[in-house]
Amino acid sequence: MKQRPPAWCLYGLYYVGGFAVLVVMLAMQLQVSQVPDWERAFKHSYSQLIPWLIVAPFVLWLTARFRLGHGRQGMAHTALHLVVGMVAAGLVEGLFITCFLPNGPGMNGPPDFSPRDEIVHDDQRPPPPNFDEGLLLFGDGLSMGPGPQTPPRPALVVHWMKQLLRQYPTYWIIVAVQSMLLATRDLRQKERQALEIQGKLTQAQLNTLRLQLQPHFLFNTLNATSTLVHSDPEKADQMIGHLSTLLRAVLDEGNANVVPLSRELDLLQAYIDIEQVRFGDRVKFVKDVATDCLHAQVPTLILQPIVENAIRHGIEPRAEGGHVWLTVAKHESQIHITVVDDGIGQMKSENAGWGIGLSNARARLEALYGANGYQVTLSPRGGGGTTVQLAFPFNQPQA
Amino acid sequence: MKMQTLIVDDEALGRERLRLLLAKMPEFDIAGECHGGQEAVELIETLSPQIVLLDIQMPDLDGFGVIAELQRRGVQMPIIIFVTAYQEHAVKAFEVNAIDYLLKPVQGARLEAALDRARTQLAKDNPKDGQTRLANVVEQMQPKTTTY
Repeated sequence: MKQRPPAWCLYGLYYVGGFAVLVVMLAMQLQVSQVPDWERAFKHSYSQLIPWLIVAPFVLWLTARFRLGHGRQGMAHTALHLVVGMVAAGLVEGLFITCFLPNGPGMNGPPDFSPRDEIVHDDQRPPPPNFDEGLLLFGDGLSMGPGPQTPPRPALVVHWMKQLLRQYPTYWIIVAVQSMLLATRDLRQKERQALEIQGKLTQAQLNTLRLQLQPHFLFNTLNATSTLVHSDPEKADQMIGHLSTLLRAVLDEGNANVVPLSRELDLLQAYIDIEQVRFGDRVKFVKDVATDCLHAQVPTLILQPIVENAIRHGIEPRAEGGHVWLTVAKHESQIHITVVDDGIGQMKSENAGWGIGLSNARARLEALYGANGYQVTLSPRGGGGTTVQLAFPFNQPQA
Repeated sequence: MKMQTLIVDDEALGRERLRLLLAKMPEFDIAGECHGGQEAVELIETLSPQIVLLDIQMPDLDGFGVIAELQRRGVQMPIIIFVTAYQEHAVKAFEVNAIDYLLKPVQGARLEAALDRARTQLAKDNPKDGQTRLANVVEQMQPKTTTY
């Protein structure tokens, strides 16, 4: 595998590359408009841009740190950039004057680093008139005669002040480009986060689905049915019907929030019928449902996992089997659902499955009724077995 | 000689399924049936079947518990074919080179293939080989062996 270069290396490359492109572009523009000589055009171009090359990283950092934007903070940041922009522009212009104008402040002779000098050495050409040429780009009518003599200091200060304003827009161009890059990055990040959240949601939905219908239950039922196909086709037929009812409910209504209790009881009955075929008289189911509750809205498939828990962890481990009692009643503004089994009891069960099944029920009830709108309790039943009670607001469907 | 097979499953219909399928295979005889792990241990000890079709999820003692208990008692280990509803255990069993496992609903052809492997295993000179392998399987699957 090829090793990727480190990120900073890449960014450095972008930075220098972008700078080179800018130099070329400015040189081309100059060559067309003001400086027909390519060499001088380039020299002007990079002498203009090198100070920015030095200052720009700071501007980029500052823009990332103090983002432009709306609101009080955004305004404060904008104000900051307005001020810092002036300073940066002044700094850049100062650098330019110091490094590239041979008669910069405090210099009586050509500076050590001067592109002009290099060319003189390279090309053996006589030095061209310099100071005005340095200002060629500026075109601000700063009147300084050509010649090697030092320009008066006050003139340089005035020049510096004026040129500062010339550099000022460049500061804002850098800020704008950086802001745009940052915004693009933010957008991409947000998109990625949205995708991640989407993925997690799907996973959660799948988990819910798996909890609602245990694979063990599904495949054991299919196994039992494949036996019945030979020995009792009528019963096999019924099993397929019950299983279809359950699967349809999980697939269609898995995302629906609530159904009338009567529908929920039908689903539960389909499940119980299957279990009774599988385990014969080992599982006895008794239900006592108040008729005024039949239209109450209950979370879809909230009962089946609880009853399944009672059977799997309470009744199944006991060779002689047992009972599951379901009671539903209205208590003032609440609906109370109680599932009791006389199985081995949670204390003796080695399975932690109860906890998982109940936390699923809790999560769904909390999503529907808020943290304080429901109650789920799990307690040992006197004389062996387990009691689970759900309490949540009694809601009739809006007619 | 017919090979003696024991069927262990807590569901009557699960046992019936295996019985129906075995009835079509004349080389195998059903030595017995039971619906729980404890009973399976007793039957294996008394009947000494050559092959056991063993369900994993059972009320009193699960399939792995049965094997652990047989080892503890020092009972001659039969060839064991796991029969399970879901691959959560079977995949592990496969990784540690179990004799075989079957997924429910059990298919006739698949059962036949498993029994073929069992027969090959039995025909080998060193029947201990299978025993050691199965012991390894159990050890890796159940790091915390239940004590009785």
